[in-house]
Amino acid sequence: MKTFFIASLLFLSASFTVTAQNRMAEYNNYDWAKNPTMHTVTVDEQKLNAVGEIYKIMREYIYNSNNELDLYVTKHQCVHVNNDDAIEQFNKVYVPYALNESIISVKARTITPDGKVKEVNQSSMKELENVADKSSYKIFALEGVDKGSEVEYLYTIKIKPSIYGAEYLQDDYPKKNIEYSIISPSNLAFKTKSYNGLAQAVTDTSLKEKNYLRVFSDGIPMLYKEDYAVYTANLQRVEYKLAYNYASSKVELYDWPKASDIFWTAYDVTDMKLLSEAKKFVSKQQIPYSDDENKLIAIDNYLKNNISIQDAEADELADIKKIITNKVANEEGMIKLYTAILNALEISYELVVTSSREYARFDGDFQSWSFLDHFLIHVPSVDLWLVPTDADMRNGMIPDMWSANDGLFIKKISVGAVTSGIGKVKYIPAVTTEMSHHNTFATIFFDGNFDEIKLHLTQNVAGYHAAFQPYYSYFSDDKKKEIQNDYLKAIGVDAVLSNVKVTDHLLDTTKYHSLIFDADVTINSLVEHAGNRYLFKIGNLLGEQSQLYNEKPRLSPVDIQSESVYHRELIFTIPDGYKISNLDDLKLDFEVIDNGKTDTYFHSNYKMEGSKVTVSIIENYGQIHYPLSKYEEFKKVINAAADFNKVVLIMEKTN
Amino acid sequence: MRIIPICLAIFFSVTVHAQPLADLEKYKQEYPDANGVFLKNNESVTISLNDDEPYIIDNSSDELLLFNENAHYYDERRVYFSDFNEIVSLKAKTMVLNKNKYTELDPSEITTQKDEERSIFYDDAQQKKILFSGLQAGSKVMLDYTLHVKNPYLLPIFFFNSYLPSVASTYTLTFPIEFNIKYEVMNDNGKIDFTKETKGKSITYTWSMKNAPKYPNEKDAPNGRYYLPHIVIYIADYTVKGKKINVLSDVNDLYKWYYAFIKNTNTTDATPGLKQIADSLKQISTSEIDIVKNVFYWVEDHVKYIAFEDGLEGFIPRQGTLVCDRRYGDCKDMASVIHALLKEAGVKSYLTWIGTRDIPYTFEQVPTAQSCNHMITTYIAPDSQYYFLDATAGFMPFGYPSSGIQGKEALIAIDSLHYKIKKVPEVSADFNNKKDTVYLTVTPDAFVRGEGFFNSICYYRYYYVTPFIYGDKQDYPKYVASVTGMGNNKFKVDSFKLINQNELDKPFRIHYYFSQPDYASKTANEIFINMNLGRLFYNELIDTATTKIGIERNNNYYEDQIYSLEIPTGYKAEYIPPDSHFDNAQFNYSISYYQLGNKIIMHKHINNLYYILQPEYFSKWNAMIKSLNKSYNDSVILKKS
Repeated sequence: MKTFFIASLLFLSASFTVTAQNRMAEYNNYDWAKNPTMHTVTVDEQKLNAVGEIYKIMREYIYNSNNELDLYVTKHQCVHVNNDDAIEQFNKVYVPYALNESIISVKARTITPDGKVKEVNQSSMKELENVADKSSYKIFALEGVDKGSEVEYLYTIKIKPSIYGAEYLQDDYPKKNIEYSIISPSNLAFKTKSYNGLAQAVTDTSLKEKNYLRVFSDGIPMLYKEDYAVYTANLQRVEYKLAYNYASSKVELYDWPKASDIFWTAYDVTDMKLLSEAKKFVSKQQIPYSDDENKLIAIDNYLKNNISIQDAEADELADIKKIITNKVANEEGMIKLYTAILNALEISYELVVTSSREYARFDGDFQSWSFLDHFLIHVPSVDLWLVPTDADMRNGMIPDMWSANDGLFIKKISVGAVTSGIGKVKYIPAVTTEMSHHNTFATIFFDGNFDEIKLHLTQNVAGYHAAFQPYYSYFSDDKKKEIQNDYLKAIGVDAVLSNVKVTDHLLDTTKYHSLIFDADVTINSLVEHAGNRYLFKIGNLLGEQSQLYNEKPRLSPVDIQSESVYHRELIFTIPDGYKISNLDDLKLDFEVIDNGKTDTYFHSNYKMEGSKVTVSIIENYGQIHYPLSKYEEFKKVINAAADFNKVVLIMEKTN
Repeated sequence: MRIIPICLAIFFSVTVHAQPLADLEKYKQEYPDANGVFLKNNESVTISLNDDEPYIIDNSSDELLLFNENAHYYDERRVYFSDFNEIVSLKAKTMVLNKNKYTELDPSEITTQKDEERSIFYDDAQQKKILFSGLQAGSKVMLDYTLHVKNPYLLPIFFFNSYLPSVASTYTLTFPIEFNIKYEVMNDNGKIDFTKETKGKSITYTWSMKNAPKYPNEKDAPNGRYYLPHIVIYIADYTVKGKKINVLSDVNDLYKWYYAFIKNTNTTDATPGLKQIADSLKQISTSEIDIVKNVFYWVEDHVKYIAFEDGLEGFIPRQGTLVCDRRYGDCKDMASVIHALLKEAGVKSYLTWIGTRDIPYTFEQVPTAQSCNHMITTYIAPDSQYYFLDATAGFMPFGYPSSGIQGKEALIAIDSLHYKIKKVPEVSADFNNKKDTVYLTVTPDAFVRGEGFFNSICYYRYYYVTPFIYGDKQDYPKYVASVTGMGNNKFKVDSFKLINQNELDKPFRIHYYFSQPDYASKTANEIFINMNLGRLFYNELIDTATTKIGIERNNNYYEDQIYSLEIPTGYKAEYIPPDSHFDNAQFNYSISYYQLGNKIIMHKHINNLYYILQPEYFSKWNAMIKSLNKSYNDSVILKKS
C-alpha cells in the first residue's frame, strides 16, 4: 500500500553528471567458482539436513542512461544436502520478478558426491507469470541431486529500486560464508541496522565513486520454529533504508517526521463534499447511540458487515463516493472512509502505523518506513482502537501481532491555515484480558448413575477466543451448531447437549462483551470405572490443553500472541456414601516472576462446604514477552493446565 | 382447460420479474438456511464440424442471488483455462438491487494469473480472477464465459450441485447428427430430467435438475464423484465425408489415443548414467524379481517427485534416461525411469495408466481420460503375479501397490495393439497393521514406566517412518511419543532405538522406554491404572445427524496391542476389568485380560476392514464405539496386600 507514496517521493535522480565509473555494474565482476569442489562437511554437519556453504546477496543501485535508478540484486547460494528432506527443500528454485522487472542472468548446478558437476540447461527453465497477482517466477529444478550433493545457484535480477526493507539471513539450517552488501552511487547513502546478534555493516571504500556497505558473518546457526515464539522476528536480519540523497539535500530521507506528514496528508480526508457524503451515509444508518465510543463501534460494525475489502488497485476502490455506493473498497479506501467519517463527526483521532511483531518488532530508533506496514486508528478521547483494514477486528480489538508493539502515532497539527501530521513513537498496548478471555463454569450432578454424568456447562468467550463473534448471527444453523459443539463438546466428544443457549452475540454492543454458550450435558467419558470405585476425570472439563513436553532445546525467548485469562469454576457434590481422598491433587500453583511482577500464573484450589466441592482455577497470561531465561518457569505454567487435565479424583464407598 | 394454467404461469413470471424484492423474499423463504441461491447454473457444450474436425464450445452461465450481509464473501470467482481450454468470451457483472430495481455494475477487477497452489511445480493452467463489486442483500452475481475445448478427447464433466443451492441446474449438449455421443449419468438420484431433441441435423441432449442442494461438506467423505449426481459425456465417433472416425468409442480407442503418447518412450539408447545404474543394480540382484525390487527401491530413493503440467507434456512421459540423469520427474516420468532401468537390465515391464481411488469409474464405463489421473509401471512375473510399481510414494515396501490405487483398474500397455486391464489388489489387514507390546511397571507412588516394542508393516510402516525420514532428529522423541499414541501428553520418551528404518523389506520397529508420572492415580492403599494406554477410535462416534454420505478410510488394517503390567511387590490385583468384544465383518475388536503370576496382561485387537463405511452401518459402528469406550474407561486396581 505504501508504494504509491514512493513514486511521488522518488527524488533519487542525480542532479549531477553521472560518471562512467558510476554506471559500471559490480555484479558483472561476480561469478561462482569455475571448477567447484565439494566443501568439507564435518561429522556433526553430516547429521543435519542441510548446511549452507555460501549465502551472498548484493544489492546494487545504478543509474541507467536515462539517469533513472535501477536496482540489480544478485543472489548466490550453495547448500550441502544430506537427506531426502533437504533434497526436496533445495532441488527446486524460484527466481522472483514482478511486472517490468527482468532476470539478467541465472545459472544453477549440482555437484554430486562423486565430484561431477551438472549445470541446469537454460531451456529447461520455465516461466510462471503472475502467480496469484503477487509475483512472476522463473522456476527450475536442480538435476542429478543425490544425498551428499551440493546445489548451487547464482542469479541477478533487475527490479524496482526499493529504498527500504529487510533481508533475513538466518534459516532453519546453519549457514556459513554469508555476505550481504549494498552498493549505491556516491550521492545515495544507505543506512543499515543488524538485528538478533548479526554483526553491523562496515563501510568499504574500495569502490571508486560508490557507497559500499557490507555485512559479514562466518556462520549463522540454525533457528527452528518453536511454540510461543515469534520465529521470523527472531531471525538474524538486516534492515536497510536510503538515508540521504546528497545530490538534492543533506536532510535525512524516510524518517518519522516525513512519514507523519505524508501519511497524514494521504489518508486524512478533509474535502467538505466527501465529509458531507460520509455524514449522510452515517446518519442513514440510524445508530442508536449518542456517546462516541458506542457510536463508533456501531459504525465500525456496520462498515465491516457491508463493505468488502478487496486486494486490488482500481481507483474506484479508494474513492469514498464509489465505496458508499458499490460497497467495495481496498485497504486505502477503507482507511480514508474511516477518517472521513471521523472528521465528519468531528472526532479527533490518531493514525497509528506499525509493523507486525511476528516479522519485525517496531524499532523507533531505526527510522525506516519498512516498519510502517499496518494502519490503525486510535481515538484518544474514548481510548478506542479501530482497524479499518481487518473485518475480523471490531469492538476495540486489534490484530494481536500489531499490538504489544511500538508504532508511529500521527496526529493533526495546524500551523496557520496549513494542516499536516506530526508523529511520535509510542506503545500500542495489548488488548486486555478483560476484553479477551475464555471462562468455563461447570456444575456436575452426581445422581448415582456413574455411566451417564449430568452437568451444566457454561463457556464464556471473548476477544481472540471468539474471533467469529461478529459473524455469529449470520452463520447458517449448521455452522452455529459446529461452533457450539467446538466449545461445549470440548469436555468430551461423547457429550450430548440439550437446552443449548447462546447469548450476547449482538453485533453493535460495546467493548467488554462476551459470547456465552450454555448447555445441559450428559456425558460418560467424565467418569471411568475400576471395580466399584469411580474415577472422576475432572481435568477433562478444561478441554484439551496445549503442552510443552518432549521439547527440543529452547532457543527463542517467549512471545505469546495475546494476553489471555482462563477462569474456571467447577462445582460438584460428593454423592452420599462416597468419599474422595485425593482432593489435594486439585491444588496446582505455578507462576513466572519477572522484575518482581507475576502476570503469568496458574493457580488452582478448592473449598469444601459439607460435601459440596468448589474448584477454582485461574490461568493468566498477562505479559506478552519473557526473556529466554524465564522459559522454564513459563513452560511450567503452560504445562500446569495440561497437568490439571490429567487430574483424576477417586470416589470410593465410605464403608 | 389447459389454457388457464399457462396464462397463470406467464402472469406469474412477469410479476416476479417486475418485483425483485418480492423475488428475494420468496427465495429467502424457500432457502432459509442459505446465504444465496444459484437461480441458474447452466453449462452447455456445442459440438460442430469445422474443417472436418470436431470444434467444441463450452459455455457456462450462472446467476447467483445473494440474500444477506454475507453477500460480500462471494465477491471472488475464478475461471480456469489452459492450452486445452481457451477462453473465447467472459462476461461478469453484478445486478445491484436498489429500491426494487436492478442496476448493472462492472466487476472492480479481472486479472489473469496463475494459481498459488504449489503441488504441481509447473502448471500451464491459468485463471481469470474476477472481483465483483456491489455485493449486498439482493445483489445478483452474473457470470457467463465460453471456452473453446481444443481437444475432442477432453470434454467436461457436469455436476448439478454447487457451493450454494441451485434453483435450476442444466447441462446441455448439442451436436450434429454425424456425431455419436455417449454419456453416463452418475449417482442418479431420480431428480435428473433428460430430454432429447432433434432439430434438422442437430441433436440436443438436456439434463436438468431443480432445487439441487448445496454440496455437502463432510469430513472424511469420499470424493464427490462417488455420490454427487453428475454427467460424463464423450465423443464415441463422428463421420466425415462418409468416413467414420473413432474418438473414444470404447477402451480400444482410449488405448490407441494413450499409446500414441508412449510410443517413443524409452526407444532411444540409454545414457551412460542409466546404464551404469542398471548394471550395478543387476549385479547386486540374485533373480529377476530381485532386479525389479532393486530398481524400484533405487527410483524411490533417488528420483524426487516434481510435477510439470504443460499441455500434452501432461500425457507424455519423458525418456527414462533423462529422468534418471535429472533425478526428478512426475508420476509418468517415474514410471518411465523404472521401465527404462528394467529394460536396460533385461527385464520386461509395461507402462500403465490408472485412476486413483478418488475416481470411481471403470474403463469400460468411462473410456476417457476422466478415468485416469496417474501412471505406474507393471511387471508381470513368470508365475503371472502382477507387480504394480508406483515409486511416487517414496518409501513404500516393494510388492504392495501404493495406497491410493488399491482396487483400481490398471490399463497395462503391452504393445502398440495390445493392452490388459487388471485390477490392483486391495491389501488386507493381515499385511497392513501395527503391533505394540509394552511392559509396564508402576511404583507405589503411582509412577508408571514402560518398555515397548512397536512394529509396523506396509502402509503403517510408510506412515510411521515418514517423520523420521523428513523430520529434525531433535524432534524424534516427539515422533516416538506420537507413533505409540499412548496415554496422556505427559508421556515422556526416555530412550529409543529405531530398527529397520531404511530397510523397506522389513517391518519398521521402535524399541523404546518411557515414563508417565501422572498417568496412574492412587489412594492410601490402592493404585488405579488404566491399561488402555493407546485408545484407537476412543469416542469416535459418528454424528448421524450431520454425517450422511460415508466415511472413507485409506486402507484396511488392524492394530494389535499387548500390555503387560507387573504388580509391584506388596500389592495384589484387587480388580481386573472384564473382557469385551464387538463382532462385525467390517469392524470389530476384542479386549481380554488375564493374570499370569505377578503380571496382568491385556490383549487388544481392533480390525478396520473397509474402505468406505456406508451410512447403513453407522449405528452398528456407534454401538461398537460405545462398547469400546466402556472398556476403555475401566481401570485395574492394585491393592496393598
